[in-house]
Amino acid sequence: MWEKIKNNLNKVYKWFQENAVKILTVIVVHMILSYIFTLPYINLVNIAFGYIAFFVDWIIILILFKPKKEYILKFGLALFILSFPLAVFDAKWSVEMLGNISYLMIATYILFSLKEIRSK
Amino acid sequence: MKKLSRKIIFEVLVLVIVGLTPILWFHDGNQLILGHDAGLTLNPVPHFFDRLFLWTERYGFGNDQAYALPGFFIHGLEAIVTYLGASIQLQQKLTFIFWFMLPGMTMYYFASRLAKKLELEFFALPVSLLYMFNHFLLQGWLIAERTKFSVYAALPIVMVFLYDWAEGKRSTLKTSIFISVTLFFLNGTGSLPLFGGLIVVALAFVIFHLLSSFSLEKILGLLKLFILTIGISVALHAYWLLPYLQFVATSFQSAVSQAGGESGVLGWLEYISRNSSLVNLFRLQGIPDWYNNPYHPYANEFLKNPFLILVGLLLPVFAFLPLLIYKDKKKRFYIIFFSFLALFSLIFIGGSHPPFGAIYVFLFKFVPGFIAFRTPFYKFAPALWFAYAILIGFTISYFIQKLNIKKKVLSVTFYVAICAGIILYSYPFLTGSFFDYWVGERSTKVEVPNYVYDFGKFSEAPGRLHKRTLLLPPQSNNFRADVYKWGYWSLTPLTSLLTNASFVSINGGTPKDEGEIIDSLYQKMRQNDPSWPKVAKLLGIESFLLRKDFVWEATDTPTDNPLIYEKVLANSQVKKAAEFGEWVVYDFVDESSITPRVGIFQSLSYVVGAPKDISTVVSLSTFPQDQPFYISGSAVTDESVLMLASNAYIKPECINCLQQSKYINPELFTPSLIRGSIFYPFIEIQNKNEEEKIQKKSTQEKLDFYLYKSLEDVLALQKLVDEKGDTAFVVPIVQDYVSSLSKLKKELKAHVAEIDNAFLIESIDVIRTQESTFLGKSANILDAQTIEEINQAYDLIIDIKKVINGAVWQTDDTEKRFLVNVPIGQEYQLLYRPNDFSLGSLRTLEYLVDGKKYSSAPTASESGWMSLGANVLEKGIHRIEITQPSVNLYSGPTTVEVALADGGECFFMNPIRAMENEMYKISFKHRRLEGTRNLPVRIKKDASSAPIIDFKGDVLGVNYFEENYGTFHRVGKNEDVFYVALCSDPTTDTNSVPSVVELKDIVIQKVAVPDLVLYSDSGKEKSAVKFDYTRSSQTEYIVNADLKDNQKYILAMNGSSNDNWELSGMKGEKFVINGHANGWILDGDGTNGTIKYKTQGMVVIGFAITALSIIILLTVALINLYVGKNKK
Repeated sequence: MWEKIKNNLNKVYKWFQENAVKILTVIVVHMILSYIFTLPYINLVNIAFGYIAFFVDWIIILILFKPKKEYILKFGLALFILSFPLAVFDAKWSVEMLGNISYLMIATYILFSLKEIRSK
Repeated sequence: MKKLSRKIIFEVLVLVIVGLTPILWFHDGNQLILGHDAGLTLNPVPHFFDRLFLWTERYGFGNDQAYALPGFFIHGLEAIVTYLGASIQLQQKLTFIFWFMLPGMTMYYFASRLAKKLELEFFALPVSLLYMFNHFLLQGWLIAERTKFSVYAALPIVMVFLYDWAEGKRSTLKTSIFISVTLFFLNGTGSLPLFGGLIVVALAFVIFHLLSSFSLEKILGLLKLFILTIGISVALHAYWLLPYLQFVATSFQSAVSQAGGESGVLGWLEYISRNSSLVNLFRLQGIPDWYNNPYHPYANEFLKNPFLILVGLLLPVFAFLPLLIYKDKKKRFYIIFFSFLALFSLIFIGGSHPPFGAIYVFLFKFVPGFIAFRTPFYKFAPALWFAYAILIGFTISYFIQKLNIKKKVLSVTFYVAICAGIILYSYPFLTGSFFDYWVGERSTKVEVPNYVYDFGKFSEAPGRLHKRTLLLPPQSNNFRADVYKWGYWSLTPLTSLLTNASFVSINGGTPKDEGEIIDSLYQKMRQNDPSWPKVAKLLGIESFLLRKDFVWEATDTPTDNPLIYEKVLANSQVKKAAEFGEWVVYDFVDESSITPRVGIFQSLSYVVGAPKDISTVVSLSTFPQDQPFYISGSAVTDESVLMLASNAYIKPECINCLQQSKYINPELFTPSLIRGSIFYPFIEIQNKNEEEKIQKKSTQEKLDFYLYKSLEDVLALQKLVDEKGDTAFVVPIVQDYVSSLSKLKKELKAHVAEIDNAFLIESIDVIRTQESTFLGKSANILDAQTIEEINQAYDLIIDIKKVINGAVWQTDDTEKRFLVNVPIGQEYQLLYRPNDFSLGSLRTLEYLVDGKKYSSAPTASESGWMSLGANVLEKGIHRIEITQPSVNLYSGPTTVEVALADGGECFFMNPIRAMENEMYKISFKHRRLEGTRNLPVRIKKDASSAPIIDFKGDVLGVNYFEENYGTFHRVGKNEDVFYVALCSDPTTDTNSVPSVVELKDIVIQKVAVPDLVLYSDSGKEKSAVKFDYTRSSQTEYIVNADLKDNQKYILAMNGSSNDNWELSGMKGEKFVINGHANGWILDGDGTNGTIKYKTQGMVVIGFAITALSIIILLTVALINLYVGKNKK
């Protein structure tokens, strides 16, 4: 049992070790973008497209980590279930955020699947 | 094959059975769906025929109804069912079943074909049920929105044709014909926004079609399909499209401005999109009416019940699950398309809600015509529901098919349970509760009293159908809603759904001038002014309908008590013509002097004034009733009309008689960029350019420029102080202000004699705003460096005020001032009505005409008019000032000590009798003697104690020195008495002592708005013109007249003025007569003429094109059929 936990933790640790640079890149890029969008006049973009920094983050994640599209979709759909307790307690903002992330995930899956329709 | 057919029969049978759901909605034999925006009529056959004409008399003095023709099929169906003998309720049941079943059937056609193609079991029925039973349609059924259902039902059929075309099963021409014919019958009454969902689906289809294999050939194919479909559709829809295009060309801008202009529409968009977040849309919610609405019949269950919340959140999981579970390429092609469609449609349905809101607002602002989609949720949502129905169908099919392999019985049970679950998830369909849109208060399901039908039959009788009837009491000013005690609530007057007869009232579509004239008649009747029958007759009103079942005391739609009108109608000039339960019809005893629908006259009365003044002028005994009148608002003369005038009435406005100042909203003038911003140099260049340009313009434009430039400067200073900007910019901004003020002063002084009085009055308000802003902010910036500039600015403000006050012409407490625009120089009788009964009879009245003093001993005549004598006035503008004393209506002691202890306790002054809309000025001096309680001044309808919680009223300051207090009170609806009260607010301080305040010099006086009319008679002889007319239809009148050559006449058609009314056969110049109607000045050339609503001709041409198109299409179809058979 302990061995299993140890192995799993080791795997997680190893994953973080291997991907530390990528994770750091995403965080740094996000911080820089978040700062840029607070600057005068550039913050006007943020008023219209408030999620643009997160959107860029997502693109970088896709480039750096290359996740499988099935995982992306599963995660996107799982978020609907996860938002159930939040919806029951009327946490509108959180539910809305999770909904937006789900949209991004499903849209990514469809984008990655578009090549399938060309082969028809 | 046989098995499959049996299956189809069974599934269709299920759809037919569930399609009978509307039967469940009617629990009683008399219940009907009526009101709100339903547009369902109580008299479908005549209503249908009325809609074939572009001009209807059902509303007011007549109205263009080009928008009504595309409803040909929807209203035609209702008319046919009624014509075949069905009662109104049976007709509603049958047509509702049709509209309820139709989306299910069309979706079944699409889904069963897809199921066959993809070898899907257990697919078509749940998909159809999902498309039939859902919350989107549920919301639409509140008002039985047949227009929406028609396009919604067309969507799956159009997709069948598009897929067949893409797969090469049908030619482009055939596909275009099939799509056009579908949309010919299911046309959404030609409302472009209703096609939003279809447009989004078509766009998604095009994107996918091109993505699957991009080629020039495909683009050309799509283009060909598009052009052919549009071409054939235009030909098929010509019957309504031709007249409608003209309507759009003339009415689009007015429709936008009626909705509050672009900013108003954006505000609406914001409101509608408030809850259209992606997550709400994913779970097929976000319907605007659902949120923060405790009165919604079912929405709160779906928003608060955890089980229903879970089901809602599982919907997107079920919808997008096929992307994971299906591996077959053929199926995945469709699954990816519908998933893409769902996501694509969300961008539009969400409207201005983030994250895509900015894109929508951009399209809204910059894509011509996109403004039509101002209610995005309702317009684009069909695309999402369509996609979800198919996608969830895939999921159901997958799991049931899997289960079916191992456990057949269980799978069938599960399948039946799912189908039942789909229906139960939209359970309000089964109870009919969705009609109660304001639970316990309002519903579209009503029981119409029998007397309403009886009245309908009575007014449809030949002798009554063309009588013009005034509706009493009027609809509320708030929404103009027609509200009855038995449950009807709508902005559409009930009478327009009951009969084709003409009923006059003010509703949302009434033109402004017409509304003012009708309102002035209502006002005269309310006041029981003896002249009201004369005003009514002059407007061609022949009858009155008193509705005693009208809800007049509702808080959101208050109007007059019908009893007021019942008393007014107990007049010797009218008689009771018929009584139907709560509805009573009155007719004039003498109908001879009522203005006819069409008339020819030799002369007219020339009135200088506004349309709302007409009832005032008509109340003069000299005003002739046997000829029409012309209202010239601003023009001093309108030569061709003036030549025909037998008399002239000038009704000048009492200038600023109500002594109210205009509020200047600082937000509208505060500059977005001020000194200190890095972009300010650009603003400086812009300002410089503007100033250079303004030098070449007129004095008035220069004055306007400097007045508002100085306002912007002072608001820039306010912005700098409020935003705690760099203080180094204070001096330059004050210098800017000083510069603008100096230029304004220079222009004012140089041109003071020629400045428009309205501008001077406006300047007083603007300068007052500037002064208060500057006073408020200068304390924050006063120091050694700024003191000089601040003083300079103050001096300039004072100088400008002096110049303006010296030149402005406006009323003060006792001097009533008028500016009179005289069209023709001659002798005028000055007639005056003080409109202040508290004055009693005046012995003498002093007045000034252009500074020359006169004194008169007037005698009051009918309606309170006094003659001040005659004065010769030259053509042009004259200043008249009349001294009218005012009476203090307060009758208590001059000094009162008021002690108030308990919370809610009030001191009341004597009651003041008043009438609606009157203005009263209240003033007194006050001094606090004891205590510190909040003592608000309140105007109350009765002398009972104030409620415990009441935040209204100005609170008197706790000041031990004497202070002045003043306020105005405008008398509200149904308020015939009011009390000025000083009240004590409740306090939690247990040690609080009673407060004592001394009141002195209490004055309550009426702010009277007197009427002044200048009257002159040209002495022109009037003789009756021999003529007769026949009414061919509601869009055509034929006139025969015995006219003398080379003599001018006036032809008046007493229907709402519209450019489309034209005269042929007689030579005439068109103008607006009677303030709202169609008039022509005739040359006396010709004896027969036809007055026609010219666009009606387009309807005939349009129907001919449509009929020809149908014949051509049928011929093509028959040839195709013949060729096909021969080939076989």
